[in-house]
Amino acid sequence: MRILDEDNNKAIKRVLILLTQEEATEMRDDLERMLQKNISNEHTHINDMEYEHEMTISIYNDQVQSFNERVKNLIAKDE
Amino acid sequence: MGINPNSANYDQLVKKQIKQDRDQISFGMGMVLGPEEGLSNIISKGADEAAASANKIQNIVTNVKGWLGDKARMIKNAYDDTVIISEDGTRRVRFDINNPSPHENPHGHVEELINGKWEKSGPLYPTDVPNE
Repeated sequence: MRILDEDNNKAIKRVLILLTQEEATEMRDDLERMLQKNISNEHTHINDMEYEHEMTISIYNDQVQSFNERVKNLIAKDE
Repeated sequence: MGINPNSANYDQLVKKQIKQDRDQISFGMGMVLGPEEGLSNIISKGADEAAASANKIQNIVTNVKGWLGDKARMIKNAYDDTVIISEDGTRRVRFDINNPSPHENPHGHVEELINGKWEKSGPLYPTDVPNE
């Protein structure tokens, strides 16, 4: 697991996520799609209605070349 | 022409239509996001080239508007990237150009809520842009 605070460009260890029913359903659908189709190193976005809050989710493995350098570093060093 | 709800293979026809719509928009997004026809490059082009590009983009806008409906709303996210959402909130097109994170290259997303489940394209890249 890796978590990036995108507002501050900082790797963090813990995050509390609060979702509405609709947002949780969307995240479930996205994860199901990626898991069932064995999609790794892609991404999906979950937003609130006004796009003020956003989660970007990816299922990653060791084939990280599709990510940008910031995310590669996050995966490799957790920083 | 609409799909007859009484057709025996109505579900298949709807799915086929959705795929066609998405392919059309994805193609359009490819042109918008592509390095040769990208919006930022139009600024530096000559008048003729800019006009040709503008025509192509107008066609894309028409396609996107057709899929999302005339009353779609546009949102700019924190990175000033554009998201367009249909009036009922069940169709969305998103262009991640300024902030393509977690990847390197600009891409788009086409998303649709079908029978209560979100069907998403995943990142869509122009054909001449590496998928990264």
